[in-house]
Amino acid sequence: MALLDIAGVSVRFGNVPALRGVSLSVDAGEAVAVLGANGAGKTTLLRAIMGRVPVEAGTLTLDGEAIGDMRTSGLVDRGLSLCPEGRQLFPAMSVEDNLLLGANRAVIRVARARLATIYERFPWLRERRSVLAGAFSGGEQQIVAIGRALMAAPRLLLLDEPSSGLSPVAIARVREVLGQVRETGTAILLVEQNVQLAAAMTGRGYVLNRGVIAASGETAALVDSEALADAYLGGAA
Amino acid sequence: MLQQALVNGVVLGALFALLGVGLTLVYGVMDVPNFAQAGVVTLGAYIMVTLHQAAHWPFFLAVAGGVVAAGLISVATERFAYRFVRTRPLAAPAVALGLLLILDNSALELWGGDHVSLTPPYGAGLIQLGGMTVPAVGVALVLTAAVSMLLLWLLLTRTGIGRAIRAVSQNPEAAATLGIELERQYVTAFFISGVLAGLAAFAYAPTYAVFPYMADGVIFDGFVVVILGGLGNVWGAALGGILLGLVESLSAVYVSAAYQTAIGFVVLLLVIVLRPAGLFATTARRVA
Repeated sequence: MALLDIAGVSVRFGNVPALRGVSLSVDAGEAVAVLGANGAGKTTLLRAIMGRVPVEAGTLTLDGEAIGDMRTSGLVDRGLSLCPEGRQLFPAMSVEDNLLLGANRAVIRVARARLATIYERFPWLRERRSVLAGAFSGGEQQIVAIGRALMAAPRLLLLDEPSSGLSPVAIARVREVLGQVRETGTAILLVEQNVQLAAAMTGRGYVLNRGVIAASGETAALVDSEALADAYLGGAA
Repeated sequence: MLQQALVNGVVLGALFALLGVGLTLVYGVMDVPNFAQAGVVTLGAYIMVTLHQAAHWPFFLAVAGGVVAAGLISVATERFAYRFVRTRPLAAPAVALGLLLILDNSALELWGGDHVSLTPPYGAGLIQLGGMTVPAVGVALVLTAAVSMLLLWLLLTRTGIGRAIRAVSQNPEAAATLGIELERQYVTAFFISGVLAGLAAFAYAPTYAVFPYMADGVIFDGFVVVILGGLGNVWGAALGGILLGLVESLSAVYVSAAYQTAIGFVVLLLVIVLRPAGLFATTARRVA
């Protein structure tokens, strides 16, 4: 049984369909990519999984449990965690406060234990724990955002465009951090426009084009696929 | 005379700060100009008077009852009114003013329009401070404001509840994505604001009379304080309160008591023109 199973999910904003019958799955410990251009519906897909937009049709299950109507807090309790597009840190709060917010569903003793683990894994965060998150560069903020998402101790980490707006050096650093996350066995659903990063981080993937899954398979094969070229260059969905 | 004016200014400023901190907390979390807080102060004061004088509760127990009741009344304003205009910010000021009228008129209906007094055991006490005479109620007011703000600061910066409130004030959608329950934070912020209004009632009522419109004037000073300190900035509101209190007190002595409040508003206009984000504002949206 897949850890996350999405079947025929549709989302609509007013009269505009954002997702149409999307189906995909992620197994425990697996890393899966969703590739597509701007406006393909990638962020909407992640927001639907996290209960942030209403699902019009279809089913979402986590470890066999239906989660389509669940509140975000319940989803976090069950092991889902989103690292959102644009980082969405709290700029007037310290790195440590941002990290602790990632574990807001846990009791403080557990949150502190997770913080110690995160600091051990990413010493850079410990060194800057008192610095305001808004003072960092985009790449540094991305690492804080990933750390914050990991503070929820997720079984499945949802990553929305972690390379967006970053320099090649910063992307390499994010890639290194994601590699460390992979080593822990945490499953990843990676939404990306950067196909090189996606191919390096994931084994399997989907191409999302105008709200529809246009292709699926090994990520490396999808990178050179016609479906992906259509998705990026404006071919028919 | 200068020393006495400074002392009076600090006492007045402590009251403004107490009101301003509650206003800025709610504004920071929900973008609501909570004029109804004046009504919460009034009801809190009446409940203290009733518990103490009619129900014969010990003074400080009556105060505690009034403070908790003020917190609950404040939560009721959020649950039954403000929550419905959360996505309609233009409607919020009208709702706030309407709530103020409802709360004030509820006090008028329940207790009548006569002035009553809340007299603490130390009510007539005077304290000599280096040649100056300070009423004990003034000292109690300053201590109440200082301790309240310190506790609020500790709550906001050292606890999970405070972190969640600050996160919601900066980016509610990002906070919700982390599993933070927004509704719970709104209720918590209004409860804290109501408790601060109750404490303001305790601090304010012994010096001034308790009547249905007792806080309607001073709430505008609270808003001046919020703007002086920077919206959503708790310490800014505290410092802004002291600053406004000193300005008004010195104006009363050296210009005219008739222009005391007006001069406070002149300071506000100067701040809006010269430093629109407030005297102590940071670039990021914040509460703490």
